[in-house]
Amino acid sequence: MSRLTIHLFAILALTIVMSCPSAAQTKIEFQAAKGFTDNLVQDTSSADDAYTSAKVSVKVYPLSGLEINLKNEYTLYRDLEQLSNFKGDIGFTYLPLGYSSRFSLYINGNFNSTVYRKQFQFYNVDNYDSYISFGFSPAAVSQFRIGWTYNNAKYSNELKAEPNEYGILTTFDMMADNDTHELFVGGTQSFEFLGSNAFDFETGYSWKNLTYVTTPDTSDRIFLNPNRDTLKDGQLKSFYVSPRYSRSMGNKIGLSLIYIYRSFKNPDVMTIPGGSTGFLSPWASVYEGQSMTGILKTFVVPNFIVSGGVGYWDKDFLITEYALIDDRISTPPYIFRDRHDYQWKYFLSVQKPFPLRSGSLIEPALQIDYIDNKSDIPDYMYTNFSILAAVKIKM
Amino acid sequence: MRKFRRLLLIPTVLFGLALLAVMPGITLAGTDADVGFADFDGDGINDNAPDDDGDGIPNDADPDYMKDTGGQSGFINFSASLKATAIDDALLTNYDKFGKKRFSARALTENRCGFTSDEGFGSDIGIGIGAAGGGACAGGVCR
Repeated sequence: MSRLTIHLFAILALTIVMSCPSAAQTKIEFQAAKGFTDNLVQDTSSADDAYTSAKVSVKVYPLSGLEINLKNEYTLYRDLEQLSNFKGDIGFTYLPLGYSSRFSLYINGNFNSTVYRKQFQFYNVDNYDSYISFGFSPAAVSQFRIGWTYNNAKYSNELKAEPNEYGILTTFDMMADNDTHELFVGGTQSFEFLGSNAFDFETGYSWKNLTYVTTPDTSDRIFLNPNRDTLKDGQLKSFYVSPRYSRSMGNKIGLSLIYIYRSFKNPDVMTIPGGSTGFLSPWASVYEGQSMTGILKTFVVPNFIVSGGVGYWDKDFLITEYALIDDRISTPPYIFRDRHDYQWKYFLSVQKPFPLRSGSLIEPALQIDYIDNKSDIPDYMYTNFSILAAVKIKM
Repeated sequence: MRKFRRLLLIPTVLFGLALLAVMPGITLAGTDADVGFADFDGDGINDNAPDDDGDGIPNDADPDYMKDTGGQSGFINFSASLKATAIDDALLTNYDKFGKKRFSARALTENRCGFTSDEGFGSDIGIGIGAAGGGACAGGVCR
């Protein structure tokens, strides 16, 4: 299956390139990157690793309002080779309205497939995405938007539950397939007050269809029976608000401040079966809480684009089933576990674009990240430094 | 079935609104004039600042920019301006026209919602996500 996926994407890429009617309506982008992280799986193991990635992206413009894109990316890890993966994307963006209209409509559809090697094959995932958004600009400095996004994630090779000789499950059914709908509405207004400013406000409602186990009221440790019938199909609902303020500081510096508050409806009744909120888990990005981020973008260094940012997150994850490794045979081997993290993130990136007369662009770039994570689960008390260098060529 | 109908309603309403938009005469006033500061993508940099050589650095902050030749590379940078009439439409390729449309729709993709709200944090240079990319990402790998 994985080889078939890779071959299919390669054939599609070749077909698109070879059938391009003219170079002016086809854009190709190459990227090679080399990275290092001192904590690959972001926990107390602090396992460092280096990785190399190569990416090719082809975009075709058969109509003035249509972009068809195809992207292939391969990432190879130095030490944890089994994590090496291929990711293929194919999609389109359709913009049917004129660029001088007060109205704008954005329609996007995308399919991507990620394939890992054998050890991590349980995380092979196919994502089907669609995105429709409609905007109205009453003036050139303000815009309102409303939109809907949809994602369907299919884990094609999920880990199956396996009982041991005593009938106790040593692994869980992974049950990670899920689909998500998101509705949002927002608006941006730019204004002059002690300089140039813009304020944006967005709010929205999301719901995710997933499979879960009802969290028991009385006990936090359970035996899981292979014959259990406690899996349920349910819906996790989420509401969020997010104001954003941005400001130009002279003609070479831009500042952006974003606050996000997200709340789930009754998350404590749901326990995610066979999953964790750790590395590669589909639930690692599903949490309620709030975040504040600030980013500075500047052109102060001549011919360079430099960005730096800091962010704080308060994350309350979904409850998961967790295997206990201890010698207490009198107690069940699994518990329900809640995870709450407090996290600081910092980043710095530097780009040096070289535009060529032919219209091509060569762009070396460097990105440095640092995370300081505190958690009420000792496994997730960690720091993580990573550095990534890349060269991008746009033709 | 009821769910399906409700789902269909959303794109139907959006398409209805879009049809309204293609009616003649509903255009942005002042696109030929100086539209001043606007920041729909939220980076604090003026979206309307011209960037004729397309390197991502606005002309007035770009030492490479050569005013007399209209830019270093001479190719059309669609993302620099709303001024569609500055260049004859007939000379634009589909790529250029698409770029102009994408620029006018840039706010529509600034969705910060849902279950992955911090995945947009970090550099927007698109070379990979690094450690600060998002909750489900590590060492360049995302969910």
